[in-house]
Amino acid sequence: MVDWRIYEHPILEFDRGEEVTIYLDGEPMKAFESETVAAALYANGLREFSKSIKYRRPRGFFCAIGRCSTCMMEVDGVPNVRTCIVMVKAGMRIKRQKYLAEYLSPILNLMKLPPQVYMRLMTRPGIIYKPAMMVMRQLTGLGAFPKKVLDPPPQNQGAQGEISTEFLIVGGGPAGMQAAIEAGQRGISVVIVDDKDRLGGQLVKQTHTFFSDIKYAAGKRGFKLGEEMISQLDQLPNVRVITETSAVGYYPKEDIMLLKGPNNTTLKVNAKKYLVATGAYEKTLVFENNDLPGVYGAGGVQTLLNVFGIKPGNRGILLGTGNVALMVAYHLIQAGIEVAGVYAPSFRRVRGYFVHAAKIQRHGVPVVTRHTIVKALGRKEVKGAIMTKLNTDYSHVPGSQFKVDCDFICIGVGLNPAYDLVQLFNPKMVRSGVLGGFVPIRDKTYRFAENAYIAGDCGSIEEATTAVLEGGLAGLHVTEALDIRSEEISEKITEYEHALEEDRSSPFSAGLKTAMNEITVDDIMEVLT
Amino acid sequence: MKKIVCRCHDVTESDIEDAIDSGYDDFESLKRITGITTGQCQGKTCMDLARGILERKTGKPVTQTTRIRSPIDPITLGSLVKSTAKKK
Repeated sequence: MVDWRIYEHPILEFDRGEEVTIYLDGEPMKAFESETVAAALYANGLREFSKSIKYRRPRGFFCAIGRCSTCMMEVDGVPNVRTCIVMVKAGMRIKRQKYLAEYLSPILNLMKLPPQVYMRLMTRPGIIYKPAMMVMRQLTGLGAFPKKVLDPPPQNQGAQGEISTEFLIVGGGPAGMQAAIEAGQRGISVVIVDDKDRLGGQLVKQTHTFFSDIKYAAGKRGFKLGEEMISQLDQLPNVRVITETSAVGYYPKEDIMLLKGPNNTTLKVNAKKYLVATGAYEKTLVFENNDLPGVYGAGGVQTLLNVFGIKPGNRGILLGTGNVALMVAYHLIQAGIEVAGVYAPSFRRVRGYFVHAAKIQRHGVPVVTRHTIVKALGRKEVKGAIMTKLNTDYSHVPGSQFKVDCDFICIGVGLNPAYDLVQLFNPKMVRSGVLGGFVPIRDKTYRFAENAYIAGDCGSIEEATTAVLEGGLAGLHVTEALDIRSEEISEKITEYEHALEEDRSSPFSAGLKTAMNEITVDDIMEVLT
Repeated sequence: MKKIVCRCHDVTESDIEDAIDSGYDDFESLKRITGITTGQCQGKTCMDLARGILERKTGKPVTQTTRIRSPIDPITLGSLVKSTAKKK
């Protein structure tokens, strides 16, 4: 039986929990309790998780953190479950959603319908809409409706709760956790929610050491920093941690944040202050076959590798030379996986820190700028990549194409701030290239709407250390806004601001500082009205 | 060989280029005609890519995001309605 799990790693020890058996289309598979369904299936060699809706292309998972939509399968009778954020349970039955599409796809592929037709197909007349939808649903592989109400319903199935609190934090990454710590230590009642099964955000997969000289993070490996923050939170009785729960909406009129938990449960939260610390989405690239199983986001590969201890493949290439791409390349080498090369379209030398680039070059991995990917090769999964050299106007240099053998392609070309929850508070959004995308205007206390604050990557794409500092500051400013003031708080704020200033003072951050000043105003309410 | 921009609805780069060429050259119209940003993931992958294509083709910067409404994450209707089972 194939097993892609890593059992020996120089830095990480994987506590996988108890071994259980799950079933994919009736076939038993080895899984561990601490794995997500997608991770367990991947470890067993599954690469194609679903078929795409229109062209029925094979799809693997991409982000591994519940952001994209390509890993949906039927789990215990429920269709369209994002398998990358659902934990394994003993005896779980997973089904591929294929149905009719599998048999009809050759015929359907011949009828090349333009997208407009596809989107409006069979909506009128009303009489044929229902049977037509049934056929369409089968064709698309969107999954069958459950035949009956699940019997017996899982515990708490569909429970609806309502709570109110002083401070609700959405996002349990470095920014959210630090805000919870600072506010929690000063007696504020805090609720912190995260959609994963554990807090830590992306820290959980950072095996490298932070070399910033901030005392909060210096010399610590990312996942250790995360563990420390979690244990600090554990000691605060007034901080309530809710995991496996995501924010689905904010309704300003009712001042309610709607949260979605496991088993169709919902929770309405009314808070005096909200902090949005939802992080970022991975950027991706447009090239031929860019949706083939084996093309993954850098974060997805990191999750597989460092959280679950599963090899993404035997030989891969990385696209992008930012710190994320360089770091992931190093993590892959650490785990004993061959890296065929790190390629990036940028014309400057490597964008990330030189130290990281040097580290992987020492292992014989080429770091190549002025190159981009043209095509991913393979029918059902990645078998190779065609690369090309670029002219200064980003056109391809004729005749410069070459093939690289690899079984996975990892895209690490940067991050977009998670803009969606932020926008539900009706902020003033501006676009900033330096900060990664659309971000809200905020004031010096990190307030971007009447009762909402922002911290971390969703406000500006930076690093985990800056996220910690921004989170801390936001937590303290919220504490002050809730009328708890003291000399100690203002001192702490100054201390954080000083550290943040220092963190952004490297030559890498010159543009960043200007951009931050541009989106920070004195009176936020003036901007909003 | 397809270059996929929107994974949820299988919208390719050429679909978007065709739509822009047919005159749908602002983001809101493009969204309505192609279905981008309206799939299960609500635009987390395609929004940035489509914006890049639009800017490249029209030469005008896109300065606004598309309107975001709750719910931003798929949720079952069953979990939103109150159960009436107990009242029977």
